[in-house]
Amino acid sequence: MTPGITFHRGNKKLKLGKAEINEAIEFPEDFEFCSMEQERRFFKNFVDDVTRFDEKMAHTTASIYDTATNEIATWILKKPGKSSKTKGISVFSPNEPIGTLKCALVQCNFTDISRLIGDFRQKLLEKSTENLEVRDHLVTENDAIHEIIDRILEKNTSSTTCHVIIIRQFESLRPNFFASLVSLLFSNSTCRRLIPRIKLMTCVSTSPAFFTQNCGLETANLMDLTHFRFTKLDDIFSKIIATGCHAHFLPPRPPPKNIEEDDPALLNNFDCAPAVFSGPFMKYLKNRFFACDYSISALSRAIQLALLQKYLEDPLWREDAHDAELQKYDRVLRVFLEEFGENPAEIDEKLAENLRCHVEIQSDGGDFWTKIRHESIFQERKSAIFDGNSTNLHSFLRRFLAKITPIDPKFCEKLENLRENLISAEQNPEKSEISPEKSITTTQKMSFLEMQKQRRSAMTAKQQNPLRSAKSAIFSHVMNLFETTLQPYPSTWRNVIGANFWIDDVTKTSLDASDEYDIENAMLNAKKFEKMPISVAWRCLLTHRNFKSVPMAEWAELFLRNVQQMSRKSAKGAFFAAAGQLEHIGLIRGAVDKKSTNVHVLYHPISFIPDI
Amino acid sequence: MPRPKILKRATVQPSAAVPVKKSTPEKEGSRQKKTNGKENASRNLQSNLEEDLEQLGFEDETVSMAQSAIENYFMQGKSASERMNNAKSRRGRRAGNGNTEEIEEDDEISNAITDFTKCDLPGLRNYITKKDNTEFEKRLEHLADNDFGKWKLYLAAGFNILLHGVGSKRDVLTEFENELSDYTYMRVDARKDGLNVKVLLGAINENMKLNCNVKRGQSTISWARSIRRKMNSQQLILIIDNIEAPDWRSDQEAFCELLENRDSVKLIATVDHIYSTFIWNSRQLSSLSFVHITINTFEIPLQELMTGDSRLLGLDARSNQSSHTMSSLDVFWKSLAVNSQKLFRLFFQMYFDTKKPVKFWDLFNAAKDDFIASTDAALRTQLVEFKDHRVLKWTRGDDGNDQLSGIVELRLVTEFLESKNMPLDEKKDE
Repeated sequence: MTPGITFHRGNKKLKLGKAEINEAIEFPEDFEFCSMEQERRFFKNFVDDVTRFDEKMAHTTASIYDTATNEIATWILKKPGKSSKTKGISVFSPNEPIGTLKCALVQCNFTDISRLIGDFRQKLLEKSTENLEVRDHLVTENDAIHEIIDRILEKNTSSTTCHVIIIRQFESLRPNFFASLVSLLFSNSTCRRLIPRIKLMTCVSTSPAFFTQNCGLETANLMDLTHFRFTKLDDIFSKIIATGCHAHFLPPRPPPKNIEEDDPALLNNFDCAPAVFSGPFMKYLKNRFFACDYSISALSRAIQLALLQKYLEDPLWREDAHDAELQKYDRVLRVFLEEFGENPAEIDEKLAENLRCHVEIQSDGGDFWTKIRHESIFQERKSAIFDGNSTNLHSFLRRFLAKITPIDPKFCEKLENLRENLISAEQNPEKSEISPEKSITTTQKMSFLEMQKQRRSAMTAKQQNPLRSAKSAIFSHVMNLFETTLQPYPSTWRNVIGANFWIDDVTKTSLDASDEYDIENAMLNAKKFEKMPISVAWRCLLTHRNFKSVPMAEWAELFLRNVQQMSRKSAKGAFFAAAGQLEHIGLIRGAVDKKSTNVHVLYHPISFIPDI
Repeated sequence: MPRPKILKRATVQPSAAVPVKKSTPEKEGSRQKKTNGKENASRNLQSNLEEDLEQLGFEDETVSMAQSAIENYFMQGKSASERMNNAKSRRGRRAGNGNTEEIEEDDEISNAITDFTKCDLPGLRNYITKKDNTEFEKRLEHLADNDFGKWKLYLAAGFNILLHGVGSKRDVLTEFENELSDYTYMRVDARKDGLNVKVLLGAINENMKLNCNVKRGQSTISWARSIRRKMNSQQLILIIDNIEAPDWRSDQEAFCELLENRDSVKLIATVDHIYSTFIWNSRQLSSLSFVHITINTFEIPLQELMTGDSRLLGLDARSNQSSHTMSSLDVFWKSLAVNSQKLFRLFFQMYFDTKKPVKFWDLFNAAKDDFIASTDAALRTQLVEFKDHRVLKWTRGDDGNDQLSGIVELRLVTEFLESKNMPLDEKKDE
């Protein structure tokens, strides 16, 4: 037996089963499953939500990936035209027209390279026919050039074989590796004849400019280069969030093929998981995706953990459904974006815009409407509708009433009344204009006092313009609908996941590492641990006047003054235990010089200010 | 109330050790000194402090005779710390001190602060072992009742668990093992010397009976991949303490290969260092799928400190090489001839008289006068043995002659020679 390792053989396998779920979840005391069917459905939903969310995401995002990959494969296998053959000029064979080497430059983020290559290989395999045999060669930073050439020059290569060289990541290649590879392909007489049937596909993670800058001019002239973009990150993120959001953002999805065990009855629902994401959680996912490494698996893992936490907090959260409120929310949000959004014509295609506004509403809450009123786009659309001619306003009201009437009839009744007031207000100025004319025509002579009265009444009538007040009333009423409906989800809703990660006094669970903050919080901020010797020792060390190097005697003196209810012998033991522990954590280090009794402070707190 | 009990226990231990000392006539001198210490106990606090130190030394001597590896390890650190700080400061203080009360008070305060500049490892061990853990045990029960089931659920759902926080978390994992008694698991102490990812892979291969031995020229990563494939439908839960140990930092890529299949191998690990997550890059963190759980136990990590290289506690390699204990000197003493024993005393007498390295020829002249050595070759032979046992350091001085420096502390040498009835001159003791 190896020292330091102990082995224990068990009989069971740890898997997500009924026993493990029952042990961890605390159902309400008066709760019992009504039937076996209900119990089976609960556990099936639990397992599907926690472990198979990535399948939903894969199904949702597959169309985007397939479109991009198919575009690359189609271009790279397209038969070249005759005119392209005369473009290339090679110093190795100046009299022989060879043609250029087709190269597809694909910009792809780091974490999607594996998926890109896998999908691309699949596409090449699908396009292989009897007349066109496609053979791919994957090149990494560990390969040698001669190995690549040897693979291309295999004896069993037929005249119809097409070689596709896939370079996994251009940034990781050795300097001049790519230029050497291309030059060698052209210099070798056997390879030179195969140039029309050799293709290149290069992945670059930073930007295409990196490739063009690091690729020599001679090499660039030998290639027919085309840029591709594998994925659009905004679309990917929108698809992912839409998968987890309430399903009214999307039409009912088709039945997934890879989840064959789904209950047929659930297919009629909008989504298997009637969960909605809270605003802070969506904001966290957005930062996690765009600010870190564009990792889809990280989003999937975060969502699955959030669902798991929700089951631990409230096992019966699925019973709480708010379909009516969510439908109203979706339709009102759609109307808002159509009338006051940036691109109303492309509202169906711009899912990202839709989600961006949704995330802002859920995250900022009441502050969203304060900010939206000051945005230039909103002001322009508002002035286009409510200022100037009334024709735009009437057309807006017709569209608005047609959409909102099925949602909120009471609101529409009041809006109809306001519309009638608007119509009547439009007719009133004509009557008021007639009376001044009559008064002018009837009176031949006018005294100064009478003239003052007439002008004062005109000014009063102008200020109390019924048309303007009617428009203001309509605008206020419309905005009231938006502001009351488009609000963050209420805290009483049970199906909001990711509202807060589970934290109690002892443990804290999260997906991201925050060691520095947690250690600082435990020793500098938490009142529960403020009297612990290690906390006192660290605070004494940090509050010393020296910033980097502190004499040990002075540190001990501060410690003795601040430690409470401890004998000298215990204080000495506590002091050195704390010192050893701080050194073990990595916060301090002893002096290199054995004669010195100084302590070097390696880490200073960032989040909290130390105070004795 | 608990404190008087502790004091009583402390007083009982010396009396229990007395019969052991009766059988050794060479240690009568230490008993006499103890009696003298008791007579002078009422003089001042410094004497009481010295008495406490003598008692600590007494306990140390008893424990070290039991051939405990842990005790010897701690004793080495103690001597190193004492040699580093105490001897010079004490010498300087004696030379400059007077007899006024104010100076005595300053001496007491300075002496109290000076005690905190060196680590007393036996005292530290006693403090750790006697520390009250009632609150931690309650917290552990709370974890066992509320959290361990959820941790199993995390593992079952495909996540791995990473525990971090202030304090040792070994007891938490030990308690968690009870929850996993029905499953196949392996407890690994990453801070154990000689234990790394390769050893872990070998242990997995042996215990799980995979029959997948490492091939010649096969890298650790490919070996881990082979083991993962051989696992098939078997399952193993790895419980690793301090996964951020220095020997494990360079092989995390192989470790990620092993954990690629979440159903076969599951992981629950602990980390202590504040920058522990820096050993993984973003891709490795993505494949490991950690759920980070913060547990602040504030338990003193005794085992981690023992296996670490703490300079503040005197456990680093440089200190260990140049330290001695009473028991080690006693063993060395018994291996010496009578002349060598006399030479030992003579050398340290000369060394501590001048507080400077002793020139070889000066020592030779003194040894020749005392009939210890007749030729320089004979003296060199004896001194080489001293050097090999790290009693003294042999260097060449500026004038080209050999110089000898003592490594053992004055206090330790004084106590040791008194126990052998060959004390140093009384003037130096004063």
